[in-house]
Amino acid sequence: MADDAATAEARAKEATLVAWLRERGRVAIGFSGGVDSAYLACVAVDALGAGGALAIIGRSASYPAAQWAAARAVADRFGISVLELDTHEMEDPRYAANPTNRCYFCKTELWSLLVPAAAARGIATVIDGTNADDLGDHRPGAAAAREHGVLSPLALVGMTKAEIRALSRRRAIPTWAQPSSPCLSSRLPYGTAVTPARLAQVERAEAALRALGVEGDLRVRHHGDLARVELGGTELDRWLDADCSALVSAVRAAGFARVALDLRGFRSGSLNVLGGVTAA
Amino acid sequence: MSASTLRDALGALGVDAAVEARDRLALLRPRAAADARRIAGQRSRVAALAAEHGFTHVALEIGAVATEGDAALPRD
Repeated sequence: MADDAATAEARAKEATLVAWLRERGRVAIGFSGGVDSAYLACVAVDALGAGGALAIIGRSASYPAAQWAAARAVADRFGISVLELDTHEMEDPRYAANPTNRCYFCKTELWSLLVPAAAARGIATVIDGTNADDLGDHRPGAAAAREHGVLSPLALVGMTKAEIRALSRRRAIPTWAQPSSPCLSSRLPYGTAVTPARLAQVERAEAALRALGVEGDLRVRHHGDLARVELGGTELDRWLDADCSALVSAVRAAGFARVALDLRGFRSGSLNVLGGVTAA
Repeated sequence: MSASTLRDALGALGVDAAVEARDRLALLRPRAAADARRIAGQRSRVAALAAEHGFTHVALEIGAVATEGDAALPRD
């Protein structure tokens, strides 16, 4: 059957990944606790042992507290060693201006700290969770990874997001069904300055909506006084049929004067479309 | 993009709503709760209409109703 064939193919890719990791001996992983890096870190620990893999978290205002908690929970559960570093991309005016290549400046800051930190611990190979699907997206941060010698083994073995989810599920990694979770700056339209206050507004609003029971994909897009809420299809139908007063109150309490539901629902890279950006 | 022509097109669907253009986002503010329900009930059609009028995004404002003064609001 098609599903079985896909699983067999995914498992073959995982075997290739394990062999690739064993050839490296020790690795440091840029670790956000998202679907991809959580899977990669778990496989790395499995393949190399606890001493062979170090997960490094870069922390800043653009990294949601809930994401950090999820990352630490995965690390604790699977015996992954973690190092945390504070990153300072907000202090870079090129990043704060929020150009379409904003991610390049963020990743430059991240890898310029993470690669030396790994080297200081005797780890020469630094890897990230970029997968095969990511290669066709607008991802200026990938250039920063290349410039710092960061490798992307999931993409190298051709592993897709769906395969990573399926393989994560087989390993009982709780992130297997977790929605994708890009940094909070991705909620600001290009050209809108990235500030800790705006990111905090978005984080509060999304946390409040989760507390109301919103599941699946969720983005609160920041349009100044307006919060444009993108929900997955099922949740959008549910809220369009419901009394939205609790949702409105929750988002207003986060600091937005006006609230709107996007009628097309969640779209990954929605603000790329709004900003006229296409895949590189 | 034209907020006023999109508003007229929505009218043909039986929807009375102010349309505020924010770059390529059309923000719809229904005149009454019944208009909000009409938008929700035909959201795919409304999204398609917005695209036909040059908007890449369309959103329904909630917790607010339009007033006489903001029938069409080109903001940017």
